[in-house]
Amino acid sequence: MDTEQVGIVADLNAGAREGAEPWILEHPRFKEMISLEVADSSQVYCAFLAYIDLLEVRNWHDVQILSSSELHLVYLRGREKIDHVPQIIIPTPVTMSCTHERIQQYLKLGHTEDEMISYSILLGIVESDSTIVYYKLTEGFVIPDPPDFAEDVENKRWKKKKIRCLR
Amino acid sequence: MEEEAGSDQSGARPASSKIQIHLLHGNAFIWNVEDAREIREKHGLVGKLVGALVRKPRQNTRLGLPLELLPEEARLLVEIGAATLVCNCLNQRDSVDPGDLPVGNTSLSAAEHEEQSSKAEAEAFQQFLQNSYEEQRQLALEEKRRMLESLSENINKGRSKRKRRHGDQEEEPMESSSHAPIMDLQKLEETFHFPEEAMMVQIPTARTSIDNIKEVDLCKASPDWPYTGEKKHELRFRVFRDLWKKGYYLTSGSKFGGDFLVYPGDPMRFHAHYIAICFPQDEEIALSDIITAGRLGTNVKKTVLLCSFNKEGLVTYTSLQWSGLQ
Repeated sequence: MDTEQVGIVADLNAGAREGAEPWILEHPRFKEMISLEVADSSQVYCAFLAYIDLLEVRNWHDVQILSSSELHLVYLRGREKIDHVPQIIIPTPVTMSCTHERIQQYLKLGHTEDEMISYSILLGIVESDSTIVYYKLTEGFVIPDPPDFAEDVENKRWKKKKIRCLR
Repeated sequence: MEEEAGSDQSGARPASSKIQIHLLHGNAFIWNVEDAREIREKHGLVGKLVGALVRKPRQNTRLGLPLELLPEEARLLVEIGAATLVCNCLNQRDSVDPGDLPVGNTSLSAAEHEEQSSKAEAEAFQQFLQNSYEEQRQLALEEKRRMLESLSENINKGRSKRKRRHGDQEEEPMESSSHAPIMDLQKLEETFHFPEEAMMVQIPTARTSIDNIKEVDLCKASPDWPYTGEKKHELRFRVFRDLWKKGYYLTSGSKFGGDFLVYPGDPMRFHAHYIAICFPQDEEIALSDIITAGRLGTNVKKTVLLCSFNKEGLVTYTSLQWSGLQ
């Protein structure tokens, strides 16, 4: 049994990420992603890790598996909170590179009915140790938060606390 | 009404009085204070001051002329017809094209004429310096006299005390000392020494003569303007022009690892909102670079702006922000 599983792992590892656990290969969602047959196995592996991360670690809601045959991509859609609008997540290994043109194609996947909101997606960049960082990409200009405002308030509170503690 | 008429006039600047952007090995400088002001106030371009202040050297929190322009800023000013690129040539003959050489005689006599007129100018300048020295000496003398007068009482007291200590006669000093400062003052005219090094000299930042410069063609790459035809420059310029047209103020973004810093208004009043990084549309960007830029942008509370232009020539922007998912 063990040797058999190792065999499967070795088979799939020909294209998949090294270190993919045997249980991942057996996971119905992973099998579902593979069966979409749009992306190479390393991208599928990343998509699966992002899927698990969103569901199990970050408690997202309604996480769906989607695919684009033009972009050779398995991607996800889900809600951060139950009452939030769904967001698109593009999982990708950190070793990959990406043109601005391709990023703009990704952004089209984030297209919503509401024309007023500019397209945006989350890029889930997967490290080799399976940790994921998310970067938000938005079409056009997004004004940043005002500098230091929230932080200043917090700092002041913290200072007050500190003073109180020292008394 | 008058003001409007005035601004109209300056708006239709005749070709001869265009701002001169001086090139030196591919760097663009503005030396004239009025020009520097016009560039900022009228054209919304910032540049950066790179000159040390004469009376405040050894610091760099405040700098003065010249104003250094980015190549993109210089090109934009030329393209909107507000400025010309020029470079200095060492002497008159340098500016003569090889094609004009056969008429060397006339150019030589022109050079001679030039030399004579510059000699006269030098003499006039020497005279000006001499007058200025006399004037400043007079002012310093008056200042010293005023100072001595206001301090004469203290000086008297000091002198009489000293004399008493030395055991001199006690009555006389009182009388003589009351005269002593007046004596000083009388002699002041002859004894006053105003060293020439103490004289203040105005150092002009811009040339008053326009003889030894030649115009540089933006469309031809040269040592003074090496950017023509460079892919990176073309991309940066298109992005720069587009953002400028949208009303943003831009400065160099090298401090934040980008191409430009994008401000919603004059940088004196606003923090930058964006760090613009230019990429050719089809260039592969390593995701690690995207992470680097995104992290940095978040740390300094700015949005990273990926900028390209597409096949239709339109500049496209994508905002990149770190997303701290909970």
